[in-house]
Amino acid sequence: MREEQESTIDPERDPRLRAALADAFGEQPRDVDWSALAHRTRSAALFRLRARARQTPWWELAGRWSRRALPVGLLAAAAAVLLALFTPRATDATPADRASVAEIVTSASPAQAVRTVAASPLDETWLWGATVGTDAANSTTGAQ
Amino acid sequence: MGDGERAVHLVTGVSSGEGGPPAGAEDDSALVERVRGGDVAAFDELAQRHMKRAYAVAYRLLGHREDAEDLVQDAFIQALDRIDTFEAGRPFAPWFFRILTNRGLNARQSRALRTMSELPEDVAATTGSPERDAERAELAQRLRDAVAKLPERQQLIVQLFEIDGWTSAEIAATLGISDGTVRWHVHEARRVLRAELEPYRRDERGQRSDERGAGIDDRP
Repeated sequence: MREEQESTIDPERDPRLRAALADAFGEQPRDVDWSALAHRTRSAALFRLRARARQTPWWELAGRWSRRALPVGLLAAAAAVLLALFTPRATDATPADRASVAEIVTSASPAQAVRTVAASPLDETWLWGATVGTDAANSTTGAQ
Repeated sequence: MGDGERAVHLVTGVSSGEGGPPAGAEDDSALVERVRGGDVAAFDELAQRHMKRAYAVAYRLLGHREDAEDLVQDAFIQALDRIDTFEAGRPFAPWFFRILTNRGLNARQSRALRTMSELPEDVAATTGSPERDAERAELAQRLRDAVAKLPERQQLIVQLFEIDGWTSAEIAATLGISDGTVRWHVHEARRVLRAELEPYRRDERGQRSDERGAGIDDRP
């Protein structure tokens, strides 16, 4: 008995005692509906969980998701940088574009001229450059 | 492990390693953090992880299947209400099972009559011999009375160990006590219960030891 108590391994099983105790107290039920029990536990908890979610400040939610969101954000940023570097800029002005703008400016009918080049991509810097010259445009936009 | 023990392990899903996170899954503390923020999926996962073991303990505390289900649900809700008192980094199971056993012991006091009046089916099964049935019922009652006199924690430990086949390590991890303490409780309970069983021990001729006279011990 003393060895049984002091040993670091479990006492040997006693089938006779087990049978007698099982007879007195019964075996564990074999047909518990675990999913139903889980469902009703969840239903009982739902109200409390929603209340907790409403009380949670945004920075705690952000902190909780930061471990997952950070790598995803970094990957997205890297992809965006690569995309920006290797995609041709739609606003780069070609000599033909410059000629079109010059035509608009000097044309007797600017509206008609604008319509003819409407499909061409324009931006403010390019428009200035095409109109008053690249150096003047740069100095103007730089001054702004 | 005997057939009965193996059967219980299969039924309850309780075995070594059960109750811990699966490989690669979040540990309990991480789930608790999410539950604090009202994360329903984290609560589901935590409940799923401990439900079978909780039911096994609840059933041993109350001896009644529906009451055990109620207790499991109640314990999870109580744990949710007190989740802010859970210390991060500590094991979740002993904290949760302390809530469950305290609630269960309170419930047992108020439901004692019902528990005793609704014994499980296998307890009521007969052997075919009226004499043996009567003797079996008498022994069962004596054992129930003897177990009821044990300290409450010891009652739970001896049932989980002897009937459900849990190891002392499993019980220790669940109740948040040492393996040695569990073994001590098992030893103490066995001493009492074997004394209760002794008069019912039969020899090869089927004669009870208390009918043969005192002082005869047929233990190997």
